[in-house]
Amino acid sequence: MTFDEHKLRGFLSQAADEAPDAIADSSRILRRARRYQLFLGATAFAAVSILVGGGVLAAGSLRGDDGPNPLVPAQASESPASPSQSLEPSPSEEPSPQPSQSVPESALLTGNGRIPLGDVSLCPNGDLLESQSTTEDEVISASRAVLESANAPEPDSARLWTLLDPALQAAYGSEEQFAETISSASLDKAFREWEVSDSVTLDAGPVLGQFISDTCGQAVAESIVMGQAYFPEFDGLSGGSAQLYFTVRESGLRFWLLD
Amino acid sequence: MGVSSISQRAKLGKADLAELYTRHEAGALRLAYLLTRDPHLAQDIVQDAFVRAFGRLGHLRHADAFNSYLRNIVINLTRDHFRHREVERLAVERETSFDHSAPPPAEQMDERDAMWGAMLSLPHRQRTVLVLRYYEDLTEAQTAEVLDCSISAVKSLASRAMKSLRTTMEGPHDL
Repeated sequence: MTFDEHKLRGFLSQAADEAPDAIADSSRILRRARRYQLFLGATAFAAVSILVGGGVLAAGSLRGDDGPNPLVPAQASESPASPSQSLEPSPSEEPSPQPSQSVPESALLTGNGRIPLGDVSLCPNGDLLESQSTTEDEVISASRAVLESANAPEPDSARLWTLLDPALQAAYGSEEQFAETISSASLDKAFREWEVSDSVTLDAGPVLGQFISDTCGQAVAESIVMGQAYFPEFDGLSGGSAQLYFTVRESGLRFWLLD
Repeated sequence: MGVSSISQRAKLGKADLAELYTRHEAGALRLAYLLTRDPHLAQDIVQDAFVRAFGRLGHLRHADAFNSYLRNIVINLTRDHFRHREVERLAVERETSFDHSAPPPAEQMDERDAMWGAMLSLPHRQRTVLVLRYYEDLTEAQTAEVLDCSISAVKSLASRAMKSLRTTMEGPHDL
């Protein structure tokens, strides 16, 4: 028997007819797609939390404050933010003169150092997870940010699981489901260090601020942008680079830009 | 940051997703089946592919790109499946005296089974190239784009795959 392309085409055409006509339980797809969007949104939110929280913490350290920083986890852990806690200061509270103090505590990692669930405490107009999804680039950024936060060279779902706030853990159902999701998430390992540029200004339109404004409301966005304003390096985030993120380590701040 | 794309995606309703699903389901299933010869696995892969594609619709520039986007996901999920299976197989072989004797010669099977056996014995990328080129009728350039490789790599993969198939189907004496 001779074998050629024509024979292969004929085989493939006939073999394709053996394929099932439809997915057995197609009704699950939209539901699963919804859950997947939930995951993407949650992952992006986790990255935003790390970005914003890490930046403010770094800003405090770069300013060289000797006094106690009310935003560091140690102090926050004394009175951890409740998921349902309002962002608005109570009428009895004095307005803080320190710019960093104007950033809502819930925008940072929570007091126990975990990544919070994006709920009403961060997004007064709500529905961050329900109404938002994200682009793949954002997922990559988020994955990497979360990865960096775990100080791991590869996604370690067990380690990441311990970083999640219980409310966010609940969004995944179980650690096994979370591990499955993490293992199947797209993660681009190609990234390079980014040079902070002086040419980008906050007036260019803070992209991250816009994102948070859209999802969390103007008040939260303004508070966060105020935090950025006292940290010049944050201007990079205002330049509109979708793939920019940074992490904070003991050795200092690191900027990255995904290719 | 994909603010605009997020807003755009928010406008996609269930009806749009259902329409995309109806339009592309059969094609995706055929592709997955040709790459796996397992109807249940093909269904699982396509289901996962739709879930992922729907989850990331926002970064599609054009609706027309959905088919190729879905195709890429199906191929990647299939590759991942075989990768995991290979890891498991190697683990089993290490743990047991697994009999990995050669499959029966082609002449002992009917031609169709032999052809399937030959196809499934190909490395995933070679098999994918053949399916994309000779079933999906993609050009070499389009195939290279799907597989994220050069056109010369596609030619090489296709050539080696065809050589393997010929060896299996005709016997090494014909080469």
